[in-house]
Amino acid sequence: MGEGADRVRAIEQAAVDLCLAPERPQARLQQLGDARIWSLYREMVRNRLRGELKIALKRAHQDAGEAAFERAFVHHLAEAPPRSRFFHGIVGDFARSAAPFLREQTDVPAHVGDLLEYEAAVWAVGDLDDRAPATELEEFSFEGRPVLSHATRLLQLQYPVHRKREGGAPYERGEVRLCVHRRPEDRRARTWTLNPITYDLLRCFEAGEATVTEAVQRTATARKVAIDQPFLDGLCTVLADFIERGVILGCRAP
Amino acid sequence: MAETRKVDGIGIGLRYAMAERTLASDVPEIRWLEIHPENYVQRGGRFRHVLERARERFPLVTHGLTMGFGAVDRPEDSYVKPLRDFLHENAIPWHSEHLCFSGDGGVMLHDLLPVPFTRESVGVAVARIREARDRLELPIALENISYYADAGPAEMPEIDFLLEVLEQADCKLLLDVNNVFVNSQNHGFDPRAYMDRIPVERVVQIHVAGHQVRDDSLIIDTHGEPMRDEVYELLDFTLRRTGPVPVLLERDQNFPPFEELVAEVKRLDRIYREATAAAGAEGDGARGAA
Repeated sequence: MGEGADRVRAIEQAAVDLCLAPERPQARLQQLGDARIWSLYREMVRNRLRGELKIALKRAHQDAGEAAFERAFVHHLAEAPPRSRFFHGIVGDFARSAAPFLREQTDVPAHVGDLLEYEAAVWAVGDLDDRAPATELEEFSFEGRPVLSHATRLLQLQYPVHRKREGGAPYERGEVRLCVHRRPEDRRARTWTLNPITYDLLRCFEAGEATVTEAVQRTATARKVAIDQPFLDGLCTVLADFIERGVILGCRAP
Repeated sequence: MAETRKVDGIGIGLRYAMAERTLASDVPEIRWLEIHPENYVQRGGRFRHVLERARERFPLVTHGLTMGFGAVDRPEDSYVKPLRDFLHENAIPWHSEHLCFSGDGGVMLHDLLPVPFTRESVGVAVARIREARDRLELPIALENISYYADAGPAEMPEIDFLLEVLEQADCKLLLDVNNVFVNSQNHGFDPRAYMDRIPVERVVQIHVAGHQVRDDSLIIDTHGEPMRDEVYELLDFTLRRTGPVPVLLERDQNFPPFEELVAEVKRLDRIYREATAAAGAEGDGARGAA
């Protein structure tokens, strides 16, 4: 649409600014017209987004507390507002800005940023398209480039937030690597803890550039691990396990 | 590729919260389902499971939420192409969207915001509708929205704006009867006079719903309340003009026991039969139906 739509675009920008700004911008209200009604539109937009986030990120909302969660929401709208055309996608949009924001808040428990990332991953994986990708697949082989299920997320976090806390005790800090995945026949995502080598390997597979052999060599080199018989035995067990679970679908056809 | 199925009589919106009851029910008056494609495109798990069961039992129609035809921004291919594939995979006979905008510059607010009722805005909407028809390769139906205030200075009444867009874009109309009623109360016009100006040959589908009357008398189109008598009456009036156009009961929140929804469907079905018989239309003439 060219210059002929300038006035329409100006109205659209005014409405978007009105809905996203931390405080009601009076100039935008004047531009739009009826200040009472356009203030109502602002509240309807914000309430709808906020309500969905609180449902999807229930534990993070609870652990952050109402005030901090609201600050993260205001920050998100003002600095990195939702861009997904899919309403379920607003959770991921929010998590990308709110997780780092909440990690900087001194009045928020340190695990909350991780918890928010984890809940957003579980939310996404729960409904991601799990059908085989359009890419033609071949059986898994060490010379092939592996393909992971779409319904997979790999996370590296500083707190074991995938475990429920008992009695409200704080999480102990300690690196944790997770695979969040859902099989096509399942309704809910499952979470597995990964060791550093398996995590790096799956990350390498996810990038889709290396063959299995190359990925193993890179991972072993980076982790300073010898590729000896015990390593290979363990590797085969892990790979068979992830193929069985449907995380690894096969290899890309050459 | 599935076969396109006939859409007529009364339908309801397939909403996840009521999906199990809807799909397990045996209510002959529920003839078809409407889905929001944004809930199903490129999704798996429980949503695909529900969709597969739904299309086994019912004809489906899609109603989009985020490609408002009043938006200056052209929808990106990453949204339109999967949507097109989805509509064709599911043999959707027409796709509807709102005469509104929902964002700007890539930001999505996920609400239906009114466009300015201006000639410039007509041009935007006409271009968007034509593009959508070409890109989706399907008939497009435009829905009139509830609006609570003008968006900047208006050059014409909403009905003139709607008619101008319909005419220039040469598209179908999803006539939301509840929205006409809500707007008539909030903006002070006669809803029947509004309906008299609707070109019935363009009406391919009708929406009805409940709304909320606030303490300050403003009416909000919530889709979260039972339908009011006045909207049933306006539907009856409308169907006597349009003849047998499929009618969709929208309920998107504050879900009642399923039996209450079925009671509303049965009342709608009685109105549909009486009004369309009175209109002289016999049986299967639903406009735009497959």
